[in-house]
Amino acid sequence: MSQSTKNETKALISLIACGIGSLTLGILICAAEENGVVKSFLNFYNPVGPLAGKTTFAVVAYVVSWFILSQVYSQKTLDFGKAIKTTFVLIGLGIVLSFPPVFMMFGSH
Amino acid sequence: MEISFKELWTVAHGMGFGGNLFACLRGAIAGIYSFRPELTTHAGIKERITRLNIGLSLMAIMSWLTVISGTWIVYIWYRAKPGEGADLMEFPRYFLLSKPSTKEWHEFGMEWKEHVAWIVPFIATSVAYSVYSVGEELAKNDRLKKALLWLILISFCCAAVPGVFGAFINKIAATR
Repeated sequence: MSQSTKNETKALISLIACGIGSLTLGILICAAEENGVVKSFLNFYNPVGPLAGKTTFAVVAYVVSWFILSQVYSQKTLDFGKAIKTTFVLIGLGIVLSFPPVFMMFGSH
Repeated sequence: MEISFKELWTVAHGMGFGGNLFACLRGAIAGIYSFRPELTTHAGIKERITRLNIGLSLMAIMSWLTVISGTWIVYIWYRAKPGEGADLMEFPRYFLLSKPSTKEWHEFGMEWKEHVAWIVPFIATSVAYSVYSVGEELAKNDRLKKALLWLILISFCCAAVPGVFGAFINKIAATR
């Protein structure tokens, strides 16, 4: 594993944030399936349904995590290999959790 | 030759924004893959990084326009609830769920499409920003290029699911 450069760290932070946004989406999809209260909470705009909340909060997680990581790592650099692995794992989990046979296991659809 | 307001938005969402997104994704793969110092001069690197930044920004913009128009405009018409005695053909979600032969198009196809599509703008935006922040250094940075190419490939697959299911669902139960 090798340390990234300053410019690479900026890129890696945005990629990890992308993974966090994807995983948040996956978790919210499953949470809405599993819990009626969560589903109602996410349904803040009825014509769109719970998808409104799932996607809005995933976008918020993406943007906020990007901002926080940028602040935390403004004077530091990331391990390139670990950051890339983290990104792929987070995105992979997000994709798996957004697959209907997977998220439907969390509740009666 | 007529087209309704809803049909126009459906076309804009799928063929306009979505179609352009696929073109940008393919361009991004070709652009990043061939961005190597041995294939071009220093002047060429300078010119290509500008072009790459513009293309990748366009890719990110198209991905956001596709999911926002899909979720906040077209999807509202798709999931609209029919009133008593209404023609189900006007209400795609309920039309698909009304028959065992079509309900999987909603329960599997639409459910997958509406969710997985949102991963694409996250990846597209982060890839565009990554190339912008590294700049000309990217030409010699094989490890980052490799990661970005894999990410674009993943986002291409995530975009293909809604693209394919969207086309089929609109064929079976069109938003009119």
